[in-house]
Amino acid sequence: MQYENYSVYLFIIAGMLFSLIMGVAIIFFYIRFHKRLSAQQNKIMASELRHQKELLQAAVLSQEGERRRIGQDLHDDVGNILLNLRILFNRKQKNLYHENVEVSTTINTFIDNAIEQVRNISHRLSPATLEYFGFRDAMEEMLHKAHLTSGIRFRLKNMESEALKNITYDISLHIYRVFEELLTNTLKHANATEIEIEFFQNENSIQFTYHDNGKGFDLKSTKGGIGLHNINSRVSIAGGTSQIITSTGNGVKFFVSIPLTFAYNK
Amino acid sequence: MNRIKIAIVDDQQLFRNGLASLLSESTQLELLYEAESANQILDFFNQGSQLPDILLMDMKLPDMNGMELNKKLQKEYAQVKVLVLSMYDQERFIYRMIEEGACGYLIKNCSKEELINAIITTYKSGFYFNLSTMQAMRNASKFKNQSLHNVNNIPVTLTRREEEVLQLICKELTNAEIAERLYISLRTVDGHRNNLLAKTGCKNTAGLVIFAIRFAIYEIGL
Repeated sequence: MQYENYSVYLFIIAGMLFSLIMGVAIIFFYIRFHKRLSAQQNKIMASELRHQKELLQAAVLSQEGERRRIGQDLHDDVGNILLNLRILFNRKQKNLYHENVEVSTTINTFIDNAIEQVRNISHRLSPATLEYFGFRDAMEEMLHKAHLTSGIRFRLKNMESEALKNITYDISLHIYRVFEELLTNTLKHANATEIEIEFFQNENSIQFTYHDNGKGFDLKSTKGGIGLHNINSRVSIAGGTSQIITSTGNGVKFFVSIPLTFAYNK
Repeated sequence: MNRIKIAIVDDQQLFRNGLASLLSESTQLELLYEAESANQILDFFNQGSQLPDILLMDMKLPDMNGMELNKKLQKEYAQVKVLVLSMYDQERFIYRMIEEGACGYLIKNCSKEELINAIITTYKSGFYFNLSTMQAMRNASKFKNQSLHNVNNIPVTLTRREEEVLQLICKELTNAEIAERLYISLRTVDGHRNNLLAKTGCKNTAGLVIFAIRFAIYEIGL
């Protein structure tokens, strides 16, 4: 009797132990399955993200390339045709009869206007100053123009740094476009009187800050949405990170950091 | 007067041809050779061809840009005076090239008369600055004063005589004319000029003029 009882207990204990093990196993497998599933999902998401970034990069790069090509073609081909036309016309001008002199002056003015327009458009498409003289000159030119049209004052700090002279053309173009966007926003919306841009470098990255003393904006509002989007894509293509700090009434502070490996193409 | 020897570097053949026939109309000028790339003109120079007095240089060249070519020339062939002849009319281009030692900057749609005048003036006085060059330099130095990091104190002190000589140099006077104007000998003017170059660290006369404008020793009348 006692013996029977004992074996019943044994059964019960064995049963409990078995179901415990089963339970643990089920939980274990469930967790593992879940982990694997979410890892897979993460992987898919990451690859989607990477893909999107690559697409974006390709889009912006091809857009830049196209702009540059069109700008150069305009400048070199159309511009030179106009120039040659002008030179030829000037040389033949002295053979014209008196009554035609007025007409020829008008034609000259038209040719000059066309040359001027071609130059302006091509410079907007591709900043030649950046290509020929580098980032600092291009920035100074951009800000100087802004100063002449709007009277806004600016400070450039540490821009004569040697480190800045060696960044790759692509990176400097991205940063240039970012500042172009920021400057456009400042001039359009901020009502600012001063802009300060500073350059820093440490052992890992190059950094820029941009600071205007305007009225700022609410980051949650959609205002300037496309501009901010453009800035973010530029920075992400340059392999960097950026942050914008602003609120209504407090100006705009922008910070961007590019790893040295990207900045110098190591 | 000897004919002024000229070389051209420009990648557009049509433009070079036009320029060549334009130069040939003047009895004062002689075209030595033309090149379509920076390396071609450097080859001419390196192989011991006769050096030109004036090089008409385009900014856009297929192998290196005008800025880089000019740097090389300043280092190795400083006696060749570079006159930029470019489509780019941005003030920054003009100012930077003059700062880098070019003796003048012309936009390609300048008149034939201005081009010839620029060549002769550069040959005679060492530089040719037209209105847009002056304006570009004035705006650039204004900009430098305006952006707050740059404090423009004159880094050296010049004697009164040196300042006088510098002002006359800015007015495109030759050494002989300066000597006559100041009642001093040609040799003394030479001495002042060399002192000015040494003190300011400028490469050539064009550099001296920029220096004078930047530090308001010479006021540009516009």
